[in-house]
Amino acid sequence: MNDTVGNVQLCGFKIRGDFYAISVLEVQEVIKPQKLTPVPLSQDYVRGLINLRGQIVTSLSLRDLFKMNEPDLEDHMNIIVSGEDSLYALVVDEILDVIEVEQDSFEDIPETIDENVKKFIKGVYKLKDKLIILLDLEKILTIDE
Amino acid sequence: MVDLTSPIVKEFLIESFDNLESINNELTQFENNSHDKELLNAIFRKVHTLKGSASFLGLKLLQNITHHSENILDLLREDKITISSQMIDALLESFDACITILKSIEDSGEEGSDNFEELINKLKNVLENDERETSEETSLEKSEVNIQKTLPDDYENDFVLKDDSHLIANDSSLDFIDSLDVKEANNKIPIKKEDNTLSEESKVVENESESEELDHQKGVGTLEDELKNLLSIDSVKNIDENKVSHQETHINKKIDKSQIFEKYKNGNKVEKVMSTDAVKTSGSVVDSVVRVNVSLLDKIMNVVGELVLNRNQILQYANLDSSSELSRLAHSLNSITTELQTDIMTTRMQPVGSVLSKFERVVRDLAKEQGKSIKLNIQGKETELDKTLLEAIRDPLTHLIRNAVDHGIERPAERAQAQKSETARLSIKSYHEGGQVTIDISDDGKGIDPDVILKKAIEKNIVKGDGSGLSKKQIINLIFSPGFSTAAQVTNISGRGVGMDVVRSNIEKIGGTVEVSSFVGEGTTFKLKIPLTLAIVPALVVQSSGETFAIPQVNLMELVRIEENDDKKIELIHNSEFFRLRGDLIPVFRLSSCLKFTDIDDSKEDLNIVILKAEGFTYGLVVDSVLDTEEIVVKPLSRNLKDINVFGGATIMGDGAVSLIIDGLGFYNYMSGVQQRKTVDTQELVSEINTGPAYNDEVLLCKLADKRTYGIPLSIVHRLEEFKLSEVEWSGQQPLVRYRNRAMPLINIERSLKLNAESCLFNKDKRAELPVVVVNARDVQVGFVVDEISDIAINRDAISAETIDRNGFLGTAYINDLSITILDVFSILDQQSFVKKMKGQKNGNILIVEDSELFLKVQEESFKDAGFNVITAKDGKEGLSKVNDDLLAIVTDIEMPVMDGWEFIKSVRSSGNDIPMIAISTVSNKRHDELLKAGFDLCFDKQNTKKAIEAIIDLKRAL
Repeated sequence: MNDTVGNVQLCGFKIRGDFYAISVLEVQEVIKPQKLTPVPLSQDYVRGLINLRGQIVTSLSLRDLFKMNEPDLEDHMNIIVSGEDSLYALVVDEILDVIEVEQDSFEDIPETIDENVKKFIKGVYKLKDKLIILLDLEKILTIDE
Repeated sequence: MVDLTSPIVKEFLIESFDNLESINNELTQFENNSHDKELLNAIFRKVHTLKGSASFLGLKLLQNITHHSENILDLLREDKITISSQMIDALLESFDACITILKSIEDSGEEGSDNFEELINKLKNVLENDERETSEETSLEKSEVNIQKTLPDDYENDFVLKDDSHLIANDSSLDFIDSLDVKEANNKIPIKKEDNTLSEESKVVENESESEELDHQKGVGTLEDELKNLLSIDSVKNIDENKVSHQETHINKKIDKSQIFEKYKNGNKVEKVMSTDAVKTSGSVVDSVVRVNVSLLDKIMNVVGELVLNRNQILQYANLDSSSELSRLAHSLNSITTELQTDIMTTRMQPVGSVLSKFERVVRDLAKEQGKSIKLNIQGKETELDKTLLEAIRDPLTHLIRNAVDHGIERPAERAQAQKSETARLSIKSYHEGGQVTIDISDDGKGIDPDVILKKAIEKNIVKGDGSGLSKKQIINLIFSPGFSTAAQVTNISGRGVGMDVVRSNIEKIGGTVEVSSFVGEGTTFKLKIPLTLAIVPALVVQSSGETFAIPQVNLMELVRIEENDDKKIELIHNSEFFRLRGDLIPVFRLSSCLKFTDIDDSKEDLNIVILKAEGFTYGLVVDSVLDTEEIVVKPLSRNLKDINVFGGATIMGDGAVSLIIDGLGFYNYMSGVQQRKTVDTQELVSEINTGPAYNDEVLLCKLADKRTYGIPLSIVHRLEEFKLSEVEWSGQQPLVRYRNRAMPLINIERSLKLNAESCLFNKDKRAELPVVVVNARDVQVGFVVDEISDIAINRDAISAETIDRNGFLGTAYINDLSITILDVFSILDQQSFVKKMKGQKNGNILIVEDSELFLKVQEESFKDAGFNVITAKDGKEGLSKVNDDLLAIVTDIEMPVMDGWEFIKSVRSSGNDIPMIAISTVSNKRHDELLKAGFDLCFDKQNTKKAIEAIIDLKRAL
């Protein structure tokens, strides 16, 4: 993840006004809203299944995962990431650019963050104008409730 | 230390593992059949190859062990010694040691630290013990040992290197061998015929010449051939042709030489990368076989899966498009893809024998360990199964086999007490059945005692209460519950309580099922049903609440549609819905509400019920609409969705949408988990219904041109078809239609019955569809043209024959409060000019006992068609009075008034009559085992009269 000069490239996105990110290396691609096949009886954060060029992608709503109790935006975006066993799509509000941050600006999880979100977070990058929350992809994909 | 990266070493390891595996199996087989020289030779060849390769690679330990094993095998081959169980033990142990060494080589490149001294002594002892019997041989053995000793080890290795690296290309080594050869020829080595060392050598030479022949065929480099000529042909002649006397020094030289042969041979072989086994048995096969990595096959399989999806999409698109060119291309794509798909599937198919054969050894060892005597019988090794599935069933099968030996089969003393033969029978049988592979594992051990199981289950809190409401089958099925283990004492073989539930879940994971049936004191049978392949399955596509779902065909029984004003309907018991499917009450679930869809469409009164069967449970699923059948590619769900057992995966449909695949069993389990209380009620209800009247004839209802409803016994109906009127051809007055590449006569029922209506064969509209009931009877296949096929109903009452006013009617039945005329298909057929007159009765007398007139008639005529003379009886009592010595066989129903089939056979058998008895009954499937136990030779359900007839004809031939 870290390159030689201690800089990290992040794929930034917004959920309800907050800035989040995962490492760009974890992102396969970003796609527009797709036709979804709902999965009955599944957890509510499972939006459904997407056909991505013949592969089945499980779509997960981060809004629901973080228990924000608000529906996804009409024009949301899907970040396609590869989990251990299959592909997943993370439903987010808006995609930001690739952000290059210094590893030095990283800080561990602040204690005061909402419990529902905290368990999916690795830490925070402090940028000049904003904070970017680094998500723990592994925890999101292996969530066991 | 060998170089693990060298392709030669890799090939050596693969080949040796293969060989050792088959040696193990062959050896156990040989123990049971010690006259099979072919088998022994095969074993010997493999051991010999192993020894040769080992010495080539400088693996001294391996070489030493195989050398001793080879000696024993050779003496066996020469009939010098007779086989003993001790010998087999020693041999098996030696091969185990070989595997250990090979594994160590695989891991580290070294042979390992264990020097197997004990084993080698054991091998020597086996031989010496035997040899003491014949003094001549003892001396020979000694001379052989001497010879071994005179061969310095390092010399051998040096030689190997020098020889093999230069053998092929180097002229000087050629010269060297040549000179050796000449010297040899001049010396005319004296050989005593009984000398085992020499005979072994001559075998080497024989092998040599064999492989040389093959080489010739394949045209391997000419230099090699030349070398070979020099090497082997001369020496073969020398050894074989010269009658000579014993001289040790010369033998020494011969051994040197034979080592060259061996090394040459092995070097040569490795170079060609082929298995010795194949070379020796079938030279031509080798050329056409390629070893392919399974992961590559998996990848190809996946790609083909994508292709299938793509094809489906293109087909769907082409159907929308009017361009004929696109449609043509789409169709050729379709056929090519289908062919590719089948071919790829075949590459993954492997005979189950590769797994089953291993059990020879497993059973042998276990039996010996436990002091039991077991004869294992394996049938159907050639049945093929997808490789992944084969891997998946290996462990469950092993567990079942171990269980059978450990728990099922008693010790000889106990068996003797129970008046059973001391040698127990354990059989594994695999065969194709209904698009699945079935593997039966049955033993004739003590069986599973339901009382013991129940007691244990209550103890372990698996069953709450006293379990009095459970049937015998339900109790036996408790062995599949997690944490259940009945072994009083945990052995190292089984009884750790992780057994049967893992077996079941593993088999179910791959879409298979396990059934168990057992009789106390008589044995247990496990029936494993395994799908042929996993990746691509035919499925029914249905829709509910706007979503499409795929249901695999394996689970699918039939489709039922209830229209708005039908008198059939879904009935309620305690808020659970049920449907009467031809007399059986089955639970019905509404897919939309089960899956908690919110937009449930209740407005429609028409109901589509998909009848599914999973692990013996039959249930109905109400869906909004049934779309089509499609070949789907099963894609696994991501991990966090796998817990939802209702779905077996997802697939991509022709339109590119993702659909979920409904897992028949998972869905049922989910639903019965939801309403466990209610299922108990059902069972009570089902049993109530089952105790209803004995008549249970299924009748196909159809309308003729006079708009009245007529009935045709379903048991003679072969298929229901629809033809276009334009497809009908006329041969004079006889309408014909092409059906399955044959001209099938159509029957104008209206005319045959002289009804006052014109058959729809004469419809003016040539595009009209013609419903046809295809019937196989009187040795012909004919189609009865009807106006409309309406339904299938059950006749529960006697048929009244009083109302018959003409030939061709069997009588009148009251079905669903309507009086329906039942057609006498046979008499209608007899009126037709193309139906041959009945053959003379030459097959013998058959007594048919059947209470349903309708079915009796069908059976009677079917048996008459097959040339039997038929005597009939209406119940067991009447049947009993008609039993005589002239009968070839008795065919009987089970559920009958006055005296039922159970009592009937009891009476027949108790009078000491062992006439073949065949049950043809609706209960045949459900109570198959009980019927056989009651003394029936065969049993069939009512749709399978034809099979019963064939079986009786076979029986007659056997007599």
